[in-house]
Amino acid sequence: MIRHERGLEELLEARLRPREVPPTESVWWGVRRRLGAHPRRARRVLLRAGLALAMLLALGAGLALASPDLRAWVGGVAVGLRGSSHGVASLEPAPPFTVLQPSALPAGWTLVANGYNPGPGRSGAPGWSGVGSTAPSAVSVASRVAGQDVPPATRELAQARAQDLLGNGAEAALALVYADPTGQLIEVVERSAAGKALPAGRATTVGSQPAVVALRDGQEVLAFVRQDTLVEVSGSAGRDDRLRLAASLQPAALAPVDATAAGQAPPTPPAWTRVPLSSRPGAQEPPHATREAIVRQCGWDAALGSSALGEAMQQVHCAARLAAASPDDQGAWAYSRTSWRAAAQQLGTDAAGPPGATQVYLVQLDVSERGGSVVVLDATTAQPYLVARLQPVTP
Amino acid sequence: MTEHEAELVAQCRRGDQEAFRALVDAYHDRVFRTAYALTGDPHDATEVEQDTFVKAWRGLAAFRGDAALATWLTRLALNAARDHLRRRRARAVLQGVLVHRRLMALRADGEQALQRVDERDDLDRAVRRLPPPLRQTLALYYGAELSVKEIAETLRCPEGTVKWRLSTGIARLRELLDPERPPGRRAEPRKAIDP
Repeated sequence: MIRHERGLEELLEARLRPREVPPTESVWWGVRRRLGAHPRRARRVLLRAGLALAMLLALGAGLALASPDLRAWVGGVAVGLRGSSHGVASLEPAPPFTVLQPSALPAGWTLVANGYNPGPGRSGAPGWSGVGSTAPSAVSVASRVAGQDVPPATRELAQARAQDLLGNGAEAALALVYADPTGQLIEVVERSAAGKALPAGRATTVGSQPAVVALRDGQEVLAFVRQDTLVEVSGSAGRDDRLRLAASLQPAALAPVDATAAGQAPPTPPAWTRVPLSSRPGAQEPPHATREAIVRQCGWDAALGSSALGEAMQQVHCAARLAAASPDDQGAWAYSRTSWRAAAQQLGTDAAGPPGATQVYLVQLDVSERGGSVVVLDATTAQPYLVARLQPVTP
Repeated sequence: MTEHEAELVAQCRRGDQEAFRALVDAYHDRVFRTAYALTGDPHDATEVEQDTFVKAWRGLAAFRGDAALATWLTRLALNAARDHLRRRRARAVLQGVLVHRRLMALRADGEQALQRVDERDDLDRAVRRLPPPLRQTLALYYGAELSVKEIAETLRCPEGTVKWRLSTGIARLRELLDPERPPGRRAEPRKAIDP
């Protein structure tokens, strides 16, 4: 029982106010670690193109593509995206919902980034267990659209948003990020509407269809169902532009990834490879960094994988580059989480390592058919187990 | 948003972490006090504050400046605290914390400390039984020391609603803490409510 010799409001103030506020430094340290392990590298790493959940491809900033195409084959899983500044043309494997794309974009707007996660169990590769996900996904970004360079800041933000919009990989999702010349974004996320209700919010209409404006982290999200697809539209653009784009969304017919549109040149150099790692064995090397050095430089929080996928990916990328003594790579990279036994099988190696069931990250740096390297490191401790160079793919 | 803040936000959008550090410096006190008022624990408050700023870094791309930066950050802190509390709401953990508090208090300075802990635990329980809007409003007013106007902007409600929630919240707390007290006129907050 509260003793009433002390006023209730005084008690509330005493209870709800901290005795002291810790110094900013203590909070900043934790924030900085989660933004990126190394402050000078953080911006580069954070915004590196093409993050994924279980398998990730990053199209480096130095790789100028006319269209955000992406396809990869890493350890037995393939995810494909093909598109242009006008929209997505192909997805692999096919999504379990109707893909909607704007029939007309507001003046000056272009598609600058897209991301696709086919959802768990759709990769055809049982046993793959990503960071908090069982399915691979891919994000790609255009650095040049319609003859114009996309400003780096816009490109980086669009990539980061596409990555965040894909969520944790628990279900198939397509993220489309559009930008205008001033860097404003419109973000569209599409998922299967099966078994879902619109979020709570203010009722409105898109076209003549019912829709809802909900608030999420202080941002307006316009949600509605069209055909079998739950659509969410948000972003920094003005409400009119977001509504106009939402109203123009129409079902889009997608082609197989392999079909190259007439007049569309294939990406050069190849941004994708379909050759399994086990057919490209190269020289093995001892890791170039100790676990202690990795933890010191990259930070290491094994629990991040279940709560903060983007941060976990930064850790893994940083650790793999240290272990492989890889310079500031500008190429694509990919990773998956699996057991040491499975990783060794995928690499076709009988190298000594930890017990077979030990969870590891299998990281491929500089994903291309010209070379690259593979690093295997402990998913819990960051202990590097194996570094191997990959042979170029011979035609 | 001031010109200086707008420039910092623009720099953050370009990935400048030093600019973001300046924003964290500027709003650390407010965000920490908000987080503490909602969680009641300095360690939880630190985690919530970190979650808030990490979300802010990622969300600055979509921040349109419709609300003041401080208001936007306070909303993020409210959401982060709600998520944090949801994660650690296991009853066993709570009981463990209460027992631990009692033991620590006894070890520290005996009976008087134990009485203070009992009071605080009674108060915590009562506050937790309030509906979320009342609880949040009390926390922002008495804990984070926001004005009625700032709370109204943060919670997107009229100032009159904030005042009603404050007086109702205090009255409900009195009833919960002292059920034998005869119901009377609804108590107004003693503290002057400044806009």
